[in-house]
Amino acid sequence: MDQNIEHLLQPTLSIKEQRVPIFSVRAGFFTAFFGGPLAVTLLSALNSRRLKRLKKDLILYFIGISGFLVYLFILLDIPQGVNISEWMSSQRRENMVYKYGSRGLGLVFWAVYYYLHKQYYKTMSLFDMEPPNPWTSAILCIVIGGFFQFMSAMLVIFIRGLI
Amino acid sequence: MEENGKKHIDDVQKLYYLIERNRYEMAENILGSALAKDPDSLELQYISAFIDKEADRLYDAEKTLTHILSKDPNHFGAKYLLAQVCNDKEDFAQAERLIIDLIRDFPREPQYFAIYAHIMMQTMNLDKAGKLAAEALRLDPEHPGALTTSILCALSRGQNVKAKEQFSDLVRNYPDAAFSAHSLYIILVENKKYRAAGRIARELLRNNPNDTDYVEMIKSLRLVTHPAMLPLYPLQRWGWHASAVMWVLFIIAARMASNYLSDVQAFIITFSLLGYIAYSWIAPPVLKRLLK
Repeated sequence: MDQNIEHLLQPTLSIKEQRVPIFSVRAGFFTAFFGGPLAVTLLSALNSRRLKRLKKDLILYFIGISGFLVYLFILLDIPQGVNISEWMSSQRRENMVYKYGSRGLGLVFWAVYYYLHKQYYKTMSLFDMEPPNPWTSAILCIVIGGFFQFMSAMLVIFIRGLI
Repeated sequence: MEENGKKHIDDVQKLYYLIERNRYEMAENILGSALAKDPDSLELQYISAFIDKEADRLYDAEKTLTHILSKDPNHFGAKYLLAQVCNDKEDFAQAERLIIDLIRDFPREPQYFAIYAHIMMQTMNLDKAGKLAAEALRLDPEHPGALTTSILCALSRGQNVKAKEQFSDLVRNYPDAAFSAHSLYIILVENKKYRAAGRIARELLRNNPNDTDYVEMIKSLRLVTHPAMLPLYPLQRWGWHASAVMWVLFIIAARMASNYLSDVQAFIITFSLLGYIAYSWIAPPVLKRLLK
């Protein structure tokens, strides 16, 4: 047997893991829209895990999360002595930029993750594969992502206060 | 004895003749009487499994083929057919195992590499699928199975130009073959040319009236070309890009309406937009159910 093709003849599939379609583009969009950058990163990581390429994609998720933290650090410049919960619920321009900017950034992340997995979406459409039901996973990602986004914002405000 | 043997050969030839012309019912009648006379014939059992597979009786086909392979482990036809049955049953791990065995026995057969690539695509192992399709094409650049699989790989990677070039090769070599028409159908659907794809699908079904895949193709096209789907044309044409733009525009329009228009006008605009979004969610599944 030709050595060049021998590696192609190693079995790839196990009995348990067979066809694994990923969450739809629409599920990603709504998760990004309602949950922000961290939520859509979580959902995309779930897709990577289903595709058995989480290790390969991890670097991109790391860059994405780091970029988001830098974005928070630049943006969340709250003056000393201001009540944070009041600031968060206020209509101040900085707070509005934080809220809408996070949502916009979530959509940018969603687009990047779409291109990362584009060929898999194409294959799903070619073979008429139904994506899995996204509700539970998407809601969990929105809740967990939203929580970590809030905690990150608090952490950034705390660190900025120390500097 | 000699006469029985000749009759058996006649039956087998007649059965293959009928199968080639998709006359499965007639073939099954002849097969029933032939098997009654010679129940141990592996060739007749193989034909029976082939007809079961074509009629979507996959468990019967699998049972017969497993029996054939227990009697003759070197029956490569049965092994290949069993791999296809496992693929249709979505038992991809077993299909992979059988195809690997076949490739080890026939390392220069492009069809086996093409089928293996197909299995890998269906299980989303796209890198491996691409390499297998390339190997199939290397063994025979004009092999129809290798070309069709390679077209699918190119389409999934967004290499539309490459797919069209390979499709040209396919049509040049096999202008009248069903797989050429099927590839054209896939390319047309990928390019959102649904009406043209519908004409191809109807023609394919006319030539193969028993093929349930073609019926499914036409059903799915009836959904996307239904007049009730006309308002959703932008979403169909540009997919999620249009969906994203729609949502952003919706938010901007709703905010502008609430800021600059009267309450009644803002209410009408907001609910019209919400209605359109709701329609885009509800109409496709409802139509799908109705058109069944």
